[in-house]
Formats: sequence, C-alpha cells, structure tokens
Amino acid sequence: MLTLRGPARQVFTALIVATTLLIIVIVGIESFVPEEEGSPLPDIRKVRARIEGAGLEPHEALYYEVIEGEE
Amino acid sequence: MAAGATVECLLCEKRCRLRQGERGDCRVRLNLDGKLQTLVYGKPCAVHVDPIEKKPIFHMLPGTGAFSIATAGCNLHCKYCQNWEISQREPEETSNIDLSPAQVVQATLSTNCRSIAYTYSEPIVFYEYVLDTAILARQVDIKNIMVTAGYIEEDPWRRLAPLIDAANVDLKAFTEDYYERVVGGKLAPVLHMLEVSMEMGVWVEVTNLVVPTLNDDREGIAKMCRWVIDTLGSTVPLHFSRFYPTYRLKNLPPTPVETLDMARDTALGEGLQYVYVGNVPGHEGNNTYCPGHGGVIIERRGYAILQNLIEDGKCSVCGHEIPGVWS
Repeated sequence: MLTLRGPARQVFTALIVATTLLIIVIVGIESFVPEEEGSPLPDIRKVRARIEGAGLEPHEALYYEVIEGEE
Repeated sequence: MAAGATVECLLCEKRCRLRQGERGDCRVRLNLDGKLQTLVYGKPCAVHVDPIEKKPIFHMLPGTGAFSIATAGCNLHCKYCQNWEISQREPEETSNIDLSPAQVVQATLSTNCRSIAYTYSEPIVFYEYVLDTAILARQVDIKNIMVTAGYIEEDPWRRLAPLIDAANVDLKAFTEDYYERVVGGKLAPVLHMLEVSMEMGVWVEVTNLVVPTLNDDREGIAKMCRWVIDTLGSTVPLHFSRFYPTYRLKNLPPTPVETLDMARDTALGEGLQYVYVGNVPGHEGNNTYCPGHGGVIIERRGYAILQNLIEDGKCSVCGHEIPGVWS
C-alpha cells in the first residue's frame, strides 16, 4: 500500500480539503438559484407597436382553442 | 375568456401553445388577448402572374395563367428552401401589400388567369385568407390551386379541400428521419393529407425535390413510388425536381441530371404513368407521354406549351383517357 510522507502528504490533504470546500460552495450556490420557469413573456406593448408599425392588421384565426387555467 | 389566456393552434400537427404575445412556429399566428390572430390576412408579400406549369401543375388547363400569391411564413423549415426570404420571415420583415380576397379575384379576372395559386411560401399558414379567397373564386369559375407541403391537420383540410381544384403537394422524402433533420416536421401528417385529398376529389400532383446524398437513393425513391401507386394511384403525376444549392444547403452540388433520370426510370419501372423532371429545361421528362401509344401529347419547353394533343380529356391520337382537369 502506498504511503505518502512529508510534503506530498500535505499537498494531497490540501487538495482533498480544497475539492470538498469547492463542492460545498457550488451546491450552496445552486440551492439559492431559482428554477427556470420557461422563457419570459414578450412585452405585449412592444409586440403591438411592431405589428402596427408594419401596417399589419390582426385577423382572428380559425382552428384554435383556449387552454383553461393557463396564462 | 381570460384576456391573457394561453391558446393552442390546431392548424397543423405542431399544435403550438402560445401565451400572451407569443407567436407560432410559422411566425404569422400569435396570441393577442387570449385569441389566436393571423397577421397575414389580405397582406401578401408576393403577387405574380405565372404559367400554371411553374407550380408545377401539368394536368390542369395547360398554357393558362395562374394568379399567384403568397404571404410571409411557413410551418416547416427546409434547409434548402428556395423562398426562404419570405417563408422564414415574420410578416413585419417582408414588404407586404393590401389585397383583400375580393381584390385577388378581381385581379385574377383582369389578368385573364383561369386560376389562383396559393404558393411560394406555405398557403397553410395563411389558411383564412386562402379560404375566403377560394370561396369568392369559385363563384366566378376561377380554379383554386394549392402548392403546399401538406402539413395541415385533417379538420381544417377537410373544410378547405372542397374549394381546391388542384394541389401540388411536396413529398420531400419518404423517411421520418429526413423530415426531422432537413424539413423540421414529420412525414406521417403529409401522407395523411395526401390520402384525404384523394378521398375528397382534389386533383393531386406530387413533387419530390431530389437532394444529392440526402434523399437520392434508388430504394428510397422506389419505396415512395410504391406508396404513391398503392395509396393515390398510378395516374397521379409525380415531378422529380432538381435541387440547386441555397439557404442552408449551399455545400451540396446541384442534383446531377443522371440522378433525376434514375429517379424517373425507377418511378416508371414501378408503374407510375406520368413522371416528370423539373428544373431541367429541355429534358424529355418535361413532356407528357400518352400511356396508350407512347408518344408525346403535351410538349413543353420551359414553361411554354409547344404542342397539346389532348382533346376532351383524351389523347387525340389513340383516344386514351388522360386524367386531369382540362376544362
């Protein structure tokens, strides 16, 4: 069995401690980041302004359904 | 109905779910205040008078003009799209004109066209505009032509199909893998649309763009032809069209004419009776041959008709009935 002595042992111990601390920090930061909830909604005022600016006139489409309870 | 409700578009298989202000994969249908709105009704970005042969429709009113319109948008995203500058754009990015359904019909009459072609981009995404225009066109005996990839759900197609006299449907390949990788869609809905079209009496012609290395293998072409024969019939015209590098497929060469010859020979060998080669002017596959006596009955040069030997839907040489819409 390999036994580390002197400076090699100290370096090895330092590496183990540093890695453990790094993992703890990363896990800690992750727990504070909120989960992604999909892409943000478009700014409806900008959407309308762009449509009007292009001279387009929305016309109600056929074949769609409203999904109840979802906004 | 909540003003900010989510809506689901039921026009095509993609069934885009859209929250307030979001638009579908087609780029032209969006949710405004809990209602699905189309942005391209009466707003074409391309308006031309074309020979009907350009669509291509070869078995309907040869030598006549087709008043052709398109709007921005498409529900597919072919890497080789020839019209990507309008099909892969939002309507805010294209130059549009105001042209109501009544004005389209009036312009068709004043340009002496016998038909209106909904074409260039993808008419399915301007469905409401097509529907209203087609209703008016029927009232004055103008024919309606869809040039489409056929990516539409059954209900909307069954509503529109009775107004459509002819459809050229792109059957881009015969594998789901190709549709997923190159087209951005699925094959099965297209095959179903073709079946419904035949059932509803739409005159159907099929186009297959042959792309080097991607869908040019003989066995794949033969398999597609067997499906066409078994499902649509051996008299459905099949157009093999030549690919030219464009959009996101500039790395491939144009389809060799020999490959198109192989495809045509394969289709004829499988039993299809009317097989054409497109985008190769002067090719013998531009002409229509009579299955009765084997001779040329419609001779074409480019989009021009040099000779037409069909009378009352029959070959004037041997009397063989030639399927199509001839009057």
